[in-house]
Amino acid sequence: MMMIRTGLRTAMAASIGQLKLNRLVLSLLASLLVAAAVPGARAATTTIKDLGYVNTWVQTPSQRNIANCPSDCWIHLATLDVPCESFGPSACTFYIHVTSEVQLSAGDAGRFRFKLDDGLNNNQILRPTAPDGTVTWLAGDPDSPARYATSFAVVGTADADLYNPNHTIEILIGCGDTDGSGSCAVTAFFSSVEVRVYTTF
Amino acid sequence: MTVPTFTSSAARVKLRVLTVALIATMWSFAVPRADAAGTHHHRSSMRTRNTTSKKSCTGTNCSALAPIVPALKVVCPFHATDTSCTYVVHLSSQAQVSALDAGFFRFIVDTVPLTGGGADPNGYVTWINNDPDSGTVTWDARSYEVSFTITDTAENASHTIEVDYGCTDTDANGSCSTMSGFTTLVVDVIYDDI
Repeated sequence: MMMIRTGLRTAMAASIGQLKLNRLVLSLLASLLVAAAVPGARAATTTIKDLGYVNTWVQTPSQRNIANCPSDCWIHLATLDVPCESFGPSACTFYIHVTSEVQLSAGDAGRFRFKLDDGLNNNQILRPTAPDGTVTWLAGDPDSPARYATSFAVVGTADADLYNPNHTIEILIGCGDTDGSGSCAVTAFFSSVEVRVYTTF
Repeated sequence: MTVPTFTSSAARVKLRVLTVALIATMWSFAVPRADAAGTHHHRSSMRTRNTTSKKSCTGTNCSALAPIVPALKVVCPFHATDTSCTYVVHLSSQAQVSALDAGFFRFIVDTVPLTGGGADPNGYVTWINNDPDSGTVTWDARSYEVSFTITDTAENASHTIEVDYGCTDTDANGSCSTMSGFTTLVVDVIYDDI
C-alpha cells in the first residue's frame, strides 16, 4: 500500500513536474512570441534602412543645474514638438542628438533621459536606452567636476497621423549618487538638441 | 452675408475631402521634400544596439577590436548627374577601457580602412589614451563622425560601412579590455540629382 502510495505520489509528482515544465515552456514561448510581435519589445540590435530625410529641428537650451541631489534627480533640458505629417508612409523616424557642456560631481553618474510622447504609446520606441529612456554619459570618474563636452544620439519611431501630427520629444539631464557620498550635482552649461525627421520611401 | 451650412452627410464628406486636398496642396509647398528633382537627396540608415559588448587581449602592447554593431550595407542610389555619393557616418556609444590603455574606434569602408575624412590613415580614432581613471569609469559616452565620398562605376552600388571598437595595451602591462554599451550608428547618404 505504501509502495502504491509512494508510486502514486511519484507519478503525481512527475505529472505535476511535467505540467510545470509544460507551463514553463509555454510561458517561455509566449514571451518570445510577445517579444517578437509587440512593437514595444526591445531587441538587442535594431536596423532601419533607406529612410528619406524630411527636415531638422534644433533647440539650444539655456543653462540647467542640479545641486545637492540626495539620490537620483532630473531637470528638464529641452522639449520639441515635431510633426510627422505624411500621406504616404505610416511612420516617422526621429534621430535625436543632444550635445552638452557638462560638469558632474566626482565619482557620480551623469545621465540623459529621452522621452517620446511621454512613452504613452507602445508603438513609439526609443533606442538604444534603458527601459525608462535613460542613457548614462559618465559614471565613476573622479575628474568629472572638470568641465567637458558630451553627446549622445538615439532613434525613435512614431506613427504618422495627418490630423494629429505632432510628437513631443523631451530630453532631461540628471545625476545619480553612485559613489555613495550622499548627494550628486550636475550642470549643463551649454546644450544643443537636434531632431532629424525621416520617413520610409 | 449667408454662412453656408452643411447638413447632409454627403456635403460633410465633400467638405472633408476638400479640406484634405487643400492641406495636401499646402503641405506639398511647405515641407522640404527628400526626393524633389534638382535638389540634394538625403537618405539614411541606422543601426542601434541595446546590449553590452566586451573585448580584451593579453600580451604586451596587444590590441583587440571587434565590430561595434554588424556592418551596414548602404546603397549609393541611382541618380542622373554622376555616380558619386557622400557618406556621413555618425557613431554614439557608451564606452569603457582599462586604465592607462587606449580606447579607439576604427572606420572601415568596403573592407578597406577609411583614410582621412576625420580618421587617421588606417581608419583609427582614439577616444581616450593613458587615463589613469579610465579603469574606474564605468561608462563614458563618446560620439564621433567621419565623412567620405565614393564615386561608383555602376548604379545603385552597395557599400559596406563597418565601425569597430577596440583597445591597445599602451601601458605595456600585458593586457587591455574595453566595453561598449548603448550604441547608435547612423549613415547618411547625400547625393545630387538633375
